Amino acid sequence: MTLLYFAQVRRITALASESFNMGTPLTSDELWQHVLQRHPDLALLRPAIRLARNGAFASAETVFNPGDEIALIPPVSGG
Amino acid sequence: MLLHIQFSPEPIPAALPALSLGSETGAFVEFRGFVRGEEGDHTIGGLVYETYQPMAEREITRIAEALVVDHPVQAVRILHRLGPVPVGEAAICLGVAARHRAEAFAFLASFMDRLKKDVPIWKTDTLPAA
Repeated sequence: MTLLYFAQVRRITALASESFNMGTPLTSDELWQHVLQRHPDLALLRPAIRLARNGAFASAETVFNPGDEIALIPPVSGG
Repeated sequence: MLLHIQFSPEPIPAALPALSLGSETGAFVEFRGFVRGEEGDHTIGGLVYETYQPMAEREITRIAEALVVDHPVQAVRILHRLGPVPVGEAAICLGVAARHRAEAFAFLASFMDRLKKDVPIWKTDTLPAA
């Protein structure tokens, strides 16, 4: 799966994107465990970050599959 | 409902033609959001915008299709700047055409509220004041 980072999230990770080699689907909690292992400084921002799967906001029940594009969406500020 | 979405680093033209579906259109309203010269308690020269464009376009479409049920507008045009936007220039321009002004105003107000909550666009940086 590919993870995309924007705005404050990208400043913390110092990456625009990265690949996670996962062989099985993940819940959001499982996905966050992997993300925080790589980027522990995201922990403080986690409550404000929404996950998106393939261009749509994820719900608590969303399962993230190995081929998905997953975006970490910090609070938005358009307009 | 016709929907036109455009993200661009280019300035939004000072004047754009009104949206109209001809004799069926009775109202056209437009909103422009400008970059102010302060951010918090700092004087700035501008803001820098970025987006996750595929998702932003999808969210804008989803929001518009949801709002048109209660506010039956005919056409919507949204232009949003990306990259650096100097103070005094528009970051967004939203135009709405409808049969009557009431649904056009209502759609526009609700759309902007939803955009600021759910569309992945960010102010990522400030430009120094001159």
